[in-house]
Amino acid sequence: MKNLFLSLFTICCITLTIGCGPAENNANDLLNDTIAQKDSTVDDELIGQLITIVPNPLQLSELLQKSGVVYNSDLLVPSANVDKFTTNYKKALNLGTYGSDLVHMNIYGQTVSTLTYLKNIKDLANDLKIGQFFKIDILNRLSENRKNVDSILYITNSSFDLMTNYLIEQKRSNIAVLIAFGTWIENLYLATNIYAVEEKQKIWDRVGEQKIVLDNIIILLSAFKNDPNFSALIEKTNKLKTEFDKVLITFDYKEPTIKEVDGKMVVIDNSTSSIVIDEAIFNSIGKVIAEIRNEIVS
Amino acid sequence: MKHLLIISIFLLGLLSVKTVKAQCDDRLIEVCYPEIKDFKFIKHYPVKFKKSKKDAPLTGKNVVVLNQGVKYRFVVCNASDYSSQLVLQLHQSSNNAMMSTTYDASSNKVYNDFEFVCKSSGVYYLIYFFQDGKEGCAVILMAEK
Repeated sequence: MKNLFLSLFTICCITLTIGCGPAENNANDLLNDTIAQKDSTVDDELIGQLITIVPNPLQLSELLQKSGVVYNSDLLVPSANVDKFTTNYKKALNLGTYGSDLVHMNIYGQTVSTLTYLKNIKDLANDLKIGQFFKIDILNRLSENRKNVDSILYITNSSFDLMTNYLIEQKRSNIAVLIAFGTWIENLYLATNIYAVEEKQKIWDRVGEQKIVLDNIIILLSAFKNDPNFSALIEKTNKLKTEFDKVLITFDYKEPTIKEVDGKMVVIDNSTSSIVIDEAIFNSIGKVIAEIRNEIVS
Repeated sequence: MKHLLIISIFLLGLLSVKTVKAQCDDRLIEVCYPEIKDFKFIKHYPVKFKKSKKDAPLTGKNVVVLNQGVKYRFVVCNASDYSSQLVLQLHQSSNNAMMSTTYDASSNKVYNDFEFVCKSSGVYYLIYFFQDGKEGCAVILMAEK
């Protein structure tokens, strides 16, 4: 009897060990990706301060729409590409690219088409252990009606903000930086593939202004330069900087004035800045952006 | 008549310094959202600081790029479970000139928002601290039109 009990106990232990092992190894395979490792040497506070310089894709997409740029779904990252993103590096970058596309689609009122993109974002976020920030049921419901665009944009944007803050707190700033980079590069890709637009100078100027953002993005990426994925990305971004260096931005400071408008205090900035960018420079920037972006989404 | 005037001024004062009713959690953003009015929401910045020195309070900083020709609205909402008020400043990065602030030195009053018409694209700093170094929790919303 004693021997039977011991045998059964041994069989149970062996069975439990075999049962737990493979599943645990699958979870660890993802966590063992170098991108997933926390890095205690990185100045997360500095990253937290700088990462907010990456513009919200809403700002540029709205400018495109107001300038008469026609919506082109062919430019978006194909939703089926999500199956190609098998490393944390690619997942993080493309959580950003899909996020940028989602905002772009909503700005253009393509709310119903966003459903597969919402699923992709949720799946990538889940893989990166940050899925809790995307309330996909609410977004799916809101996406059924074009009138809910403002609410959709608010929920999407604040979700990405919350996710970024969480990643930085958890010392996973590398993921936050990759997501921000993916968002930015995709947004610029959409802005540099415009055709037959009358008010194109405004778009050229806004793209040219990204020169300022790029300098800080390089600082953010450089915090992780010891990682081979990041060092490769820094090299490509430096090539982009070479093109952006052709853009001239000048600034003339003058004291601001305060006016009361409708009972509210409004500060009027009297300084001026000017941006010099022409079609040739715009196109050369667009070419490098396309190279970087197409490698990220493939 | 004098009493009526005093009451009116008091009520007017109350109207301009609002406190949204929300504790220090993610719901503070949702409760604050309507304060951006007809501007489009861009980003939010959560702030939570412990008690610090009155004359050298804990200060936070975020870097933003503002674009010429765009009107921005910055809103501060303080969590109701703290008595402190967040002071927000907007500085130009090139010379650190303060472009705007929610603090009115003449009245020693902290307001909850300001609007800024940007005429020069560039890097700006959002700098913030709780008045008198008090412990506090707040959220800053940035919106544009």
